[in-house]
Amino acid sequence: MKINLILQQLLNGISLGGVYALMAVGFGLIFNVLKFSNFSHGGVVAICAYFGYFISQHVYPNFIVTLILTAIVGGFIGVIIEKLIFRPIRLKGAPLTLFLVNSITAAMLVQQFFAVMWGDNYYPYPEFIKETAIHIGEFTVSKIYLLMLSISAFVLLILSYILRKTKIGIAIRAASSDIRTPSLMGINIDFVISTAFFFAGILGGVTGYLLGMAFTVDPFIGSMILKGIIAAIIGGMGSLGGGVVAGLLLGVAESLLIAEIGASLTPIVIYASIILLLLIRPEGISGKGYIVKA
Amino acid sequence: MDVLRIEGVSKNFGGVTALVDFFMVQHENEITGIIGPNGAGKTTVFNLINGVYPLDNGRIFFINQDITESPAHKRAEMGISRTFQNIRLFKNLNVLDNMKVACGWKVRYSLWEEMIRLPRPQREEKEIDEKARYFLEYLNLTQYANQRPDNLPYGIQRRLELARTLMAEPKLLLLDEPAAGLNPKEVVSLMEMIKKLQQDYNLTIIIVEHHMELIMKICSLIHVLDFGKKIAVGKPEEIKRNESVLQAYLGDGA
Repeated sequence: MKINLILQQLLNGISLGGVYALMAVGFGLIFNVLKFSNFSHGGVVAICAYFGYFISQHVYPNFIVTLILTAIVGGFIGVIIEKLIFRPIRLKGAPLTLFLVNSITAAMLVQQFFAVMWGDNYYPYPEFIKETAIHIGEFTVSKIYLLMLSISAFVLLILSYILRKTKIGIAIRAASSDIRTPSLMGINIDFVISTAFFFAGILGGVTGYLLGMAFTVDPFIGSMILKGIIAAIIGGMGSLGGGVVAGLLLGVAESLLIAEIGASLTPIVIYASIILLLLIRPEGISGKGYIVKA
Repeated sequence: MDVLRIEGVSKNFGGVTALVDFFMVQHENEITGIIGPNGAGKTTVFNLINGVYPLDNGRIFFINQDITESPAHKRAEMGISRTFQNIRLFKNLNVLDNMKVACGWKVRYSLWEEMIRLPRPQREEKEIDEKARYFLEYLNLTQYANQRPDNLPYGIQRRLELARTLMAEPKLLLLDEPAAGLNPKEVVSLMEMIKKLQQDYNLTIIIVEHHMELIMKICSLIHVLDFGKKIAVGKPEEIKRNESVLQAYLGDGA
């Protein structure tokens, strides 16, 4: 490969990896608090991808406005999903398996719904940017990818600030290590969990919008969340920072491999290496020897 | 004034009776002890007072308000704080953040205000930070502010739990075996600390403890539990001489 091509693929990979990181964190946030794999996050991503398409194409074709709107809608969808399908079983003390089953069912429900309603077509977002690439010498950079990267970074930085500094953020982190004790300190744990779903939903909304914009919207866009879940697992469950790093690495590895060995072989190599990596280091990159307690 | 009134409270776990028809009145600014052999139901009393689980029978009043049905977080908000027999600090948070968790959520600002960084939440954040640092300083914990609680000696962790209870500005403090795992020197400083706390912040304190010296020295009233039943109540000197208390601790041969 020429050095130019490598650099270009590297940048594309980081941009794509940024979106994987968004997914990994949205997924990890809920995993940390409730200790189950929240596949319904893919549902939020899918709904928001369609929602973002709809408002930007048919209502108001402004990039920033529709992105923010989609993010907020994503947040509320997260809260609704929590109240509708997770809170009732949580208050009954249901086992974690049931949370998992509910989350997978919700994701499939969303997917099937869109497949039946709008599955016969691909829906492209409007072209927000006329000139799609920047040329710096021989080096060509896609503006869409640059935009994806900066938005992912921006959203993750804000979330990181909230989790580290604010009252609600500290409460979410406290609940991640012990979900029963915060209420004895005057913290309404139901509110904390709803807020975690709200934040995860916002990330899902941004993810859906960016994916929809970079590719096109189809009913199975939610299943891209799998990459995010893989990033979360490689990063080390329980570590959001690890998920971000793993997301970026996954994106870069994917882009470089596609350029080198082609798009059809890449997934095989990626998935095989992930299994190998987890055999060697089951606790993931950030490896705290994290153990899930039921 | 009565800070706490427990009226005829009972609790069963499956078939096991943890507490039977328990009565207790706690006066303001007093330190009261609850003692009894292992499994006597002492911690159960605490768990019922702060709402860890619902009770089967009876009522609990906090400053003349019926809190029997109130959820745990409301009771904490009203001014009931506690420490735990097995220390329950948040392992993934540093000492300062462990303090901030317990800052009390009485003042509410909306999530929106917080997210778009309006002045009010920023000011409040600063206040919480200052308050947390103040109480760390108060109990000589400042040097540990940025460390994880796991890395600290046991005695320091216990002191941190005590400092954390102050964040919510409680009226009633429940201390569950505060002396457990401490060496004799640490127990002495703990006693001084509890008395100082009580005076500085006008606290009402209930202590569950096995450490007799501590209980006898700082409590003005002692309740004795055995198999979920209250078998005695009185001043330390009375409890020391009480026949049924000696029997419960030493067996029938005593």
